[in-house]
Amino acid sequence: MTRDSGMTEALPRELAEQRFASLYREHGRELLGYALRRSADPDDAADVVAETFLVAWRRLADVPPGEEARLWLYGTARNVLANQVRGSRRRDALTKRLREELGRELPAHQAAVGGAVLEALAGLGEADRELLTLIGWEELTPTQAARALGITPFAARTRLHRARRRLRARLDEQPSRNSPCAEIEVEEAR
Amino acid sequence: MNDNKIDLELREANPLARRRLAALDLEGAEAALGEALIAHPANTDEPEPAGPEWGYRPKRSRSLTLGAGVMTAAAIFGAILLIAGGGTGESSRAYGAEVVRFAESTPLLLLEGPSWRVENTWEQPTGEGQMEFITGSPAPPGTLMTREKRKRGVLVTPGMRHERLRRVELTWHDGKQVKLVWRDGRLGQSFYSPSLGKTVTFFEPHPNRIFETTIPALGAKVYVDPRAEYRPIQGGPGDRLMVALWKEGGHLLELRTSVPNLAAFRERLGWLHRVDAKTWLDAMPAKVVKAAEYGATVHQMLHGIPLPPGFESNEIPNLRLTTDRYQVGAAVGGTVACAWFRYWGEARANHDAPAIQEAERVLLRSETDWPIFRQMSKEGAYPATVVEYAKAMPSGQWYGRPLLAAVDSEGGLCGPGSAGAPGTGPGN
Repeated sequence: MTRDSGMTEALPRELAEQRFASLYREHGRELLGYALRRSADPDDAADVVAETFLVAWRRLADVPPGEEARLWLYGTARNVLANQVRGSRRRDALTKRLREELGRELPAHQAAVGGAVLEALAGLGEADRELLTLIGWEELTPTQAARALGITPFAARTRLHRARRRLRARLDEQPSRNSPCAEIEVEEAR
Repeated sequence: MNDNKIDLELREANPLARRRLAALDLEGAEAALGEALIAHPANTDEPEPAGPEWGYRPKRSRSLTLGAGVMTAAAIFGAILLIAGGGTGESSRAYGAEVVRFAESTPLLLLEGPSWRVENTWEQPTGEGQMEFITGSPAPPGTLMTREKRKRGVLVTPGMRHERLRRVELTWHDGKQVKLVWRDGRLGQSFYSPSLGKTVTFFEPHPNRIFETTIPALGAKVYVDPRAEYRPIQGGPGDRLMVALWKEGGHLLELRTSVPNLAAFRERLGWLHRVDAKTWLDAMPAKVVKAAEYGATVHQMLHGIPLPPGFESNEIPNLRLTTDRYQVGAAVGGTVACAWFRYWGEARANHDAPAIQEAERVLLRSETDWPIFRQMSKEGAYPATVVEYAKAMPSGQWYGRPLLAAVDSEGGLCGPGSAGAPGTGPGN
């Protein structure tokens, strides 16, 4: 068994294609939503979807069955997004048509821009933000989010409590929420 | 604002609601991508994309993790492994270059107050990190929660206050990315948010109390907000949340703690000292150092284990900072064992008798022949469980089910969430 040839090829090709097609059909759109909500550019989101399902295709035998597959895909997409920040590897050839249609369907797409909650979210740590948005936007339960993040359900509940508290604090801090006249501006420390 | 309202605000802030997502007319493009992915060669020389850090490992009972296991691990793995932790003051350990690099990526600060110790350290790839220092014992059972109904504000229990007062958080950010802001009597941090496409600033909540002071041992000028509490639960007589912010060595640093009064906060600032990498590492709990040299530890643990053809060490999941040595051993030994089970399954499908015999022989002897399993057998039953499955190989049945299906099922030896479940490699 090797990782490259063994994981996907462990299944007969026809079965592998059927399983992959089923995964893609059931979860492709929600993974695209996950990526769009976290990418400023739809092209980046298309790349994330392509890269995530490429991982699934290459490591099909690693993808757990049933509901767990969805959570595995979220976990993979999260890692792909993190890698994309460090240095994007474009999947232009694969995603050309999807990028074109996304450009047509979402001409003014802006992921996570504007609004007090989004600004407050941006100020949280990545782990807090990801847990909150997996639950709030992807509609995972805390236990499902724990599986997607590779942490225990107990840790997820503890972290969720802390993340909500921090989000609440960020919201309370925003002068624009408490004082209509105040503005947030940038200024170097004197 | 309660949790329900926070959750509601969060849902309403969803930048792409599910209904809108579902209404996007993308079926043609999605079908084209799916077909292209299947046509994409699975076997390429490209770097393996990241997979999820999948599953957590249920811990053994605590009694199994201590004592003999720690000492034997030291005997087996020698100089590279760091066993004790928590600032014992010993200085005879040797650290690998990878661990030293990990240490040197931090500000190398310690809070050297009497009886204080490092509880944990986290670091993000972005250069952000946090250390938690702690002193004393946990709050007595039953003091953290209360059944009293809240009347005004939030009821602060003695246990809550006890826990806050015995912790100090030291956070650092990349000073190039996060700026210190002091404006109109308010202290804050500003940074560019790629997701928002603009610079945002967050201020500490209470204005006009900021003052400057210095940390003598660091020679650093710091800005202190002695009223940093943002909820009633974090403030009151004898329990004030205070924060100090300062720049040092390319970092923006933030020390945050609850203290009885300003004098106590100044005292804690005075306990901060800059140390060398070795001293810093000596103060770390064992789990931090083990995680920093996870790749090296995995490499050492693989020594002496027969590997199935084609096995690659980066199939072993990375447990990061959340593990102890036994669990690293379970990840290493379990991943190899599961690879052997799959090799055996392929051999059976191909009627390859020598390969079948090889896999059965290797797994049946794993508890006694694999160095890491010999070690783990003294602490827990994981190696014995592998052998139990191996004993079922000749029949191919596990309690009325096909063995391979049982091994790979939820709760099985190699199923989702198990120690042997494939995950990301240590480099990921």
